[in-house]
Amino acid sequence: MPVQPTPKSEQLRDPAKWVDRYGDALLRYAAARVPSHELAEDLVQDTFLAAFRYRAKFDGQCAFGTWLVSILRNKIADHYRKSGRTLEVSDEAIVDTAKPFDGKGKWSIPPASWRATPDKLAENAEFWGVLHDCLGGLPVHLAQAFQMREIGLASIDEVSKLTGVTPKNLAVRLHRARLLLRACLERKWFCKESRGAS
Amino acid sequence: MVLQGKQGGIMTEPGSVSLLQLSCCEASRLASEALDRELTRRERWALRIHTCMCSACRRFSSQVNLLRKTLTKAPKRWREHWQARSVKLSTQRRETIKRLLSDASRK
Repeated sequence: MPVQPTPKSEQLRDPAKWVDRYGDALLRYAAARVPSHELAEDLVQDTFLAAFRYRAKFDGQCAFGTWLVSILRNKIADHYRKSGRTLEVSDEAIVDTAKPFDGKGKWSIPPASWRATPDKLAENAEFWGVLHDCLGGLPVHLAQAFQMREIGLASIDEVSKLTGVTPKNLAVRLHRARLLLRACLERKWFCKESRGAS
Repeated sequence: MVLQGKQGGIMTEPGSVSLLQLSCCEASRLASEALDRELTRRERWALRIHTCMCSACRRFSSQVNLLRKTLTKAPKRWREHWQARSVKLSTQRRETIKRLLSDASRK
């Protein structure tokens, strides 16, 4: 008889508990890899249902969470296979057509002058609404990286661990997120403001 | 010669950043990375030289810094909203999955 009680049976008894315990972690993993929040949630849902169906196959060799992630990884790969793309090119495959630079790496539209200070900006309630719109307009994987880093104040290592995205790829995403967000704010806020009566 | 990585990255190995030949795309990437990690000496110089000559990249750099400073002052309401949205399964979806799982276990 094994000395320690197996955590396995405990974990497996109540599937509803799986969702509370692992749902957010799985969603973070999925949202970092597919273009929409909705799709990420679909994949997480499929993962839980598949885990339930095949629960007898969980052999306790790895942690239950790790097992769930491996199922999720397959679901994500299936998704890209079905849409004729491979997981490796997922960043390019995600619809994100804005081109901040031309073929030679020059600005398509050079940044304008903003004339703003953090304090003044932060005081303005309207600004936060605009920022929110701009964040919402980013592709999900970029918004996620940006939000975790700049709003959640996570380090690159932490974001990397939470989402399973490599630090190098994160640097690419954060650069992209900052470019798009900056351009959006310029369009919707800074240029408007200077034209308006402020 | 600046090496262009597969993802549009700049550095495939340390020391490969050209001091004089950064494009704006590469310079802005370094300005962005400077917010997330300590740049190497070489990268810092490359960025400094580029921004000396390029007002667009100078603006980009100050704007992303401004954004960071401003975000630290974000009202609590927005901060919570963004954090919740970025990492959580929606309540509705959570319930749906639980229901589906309980349906499945009754069969």
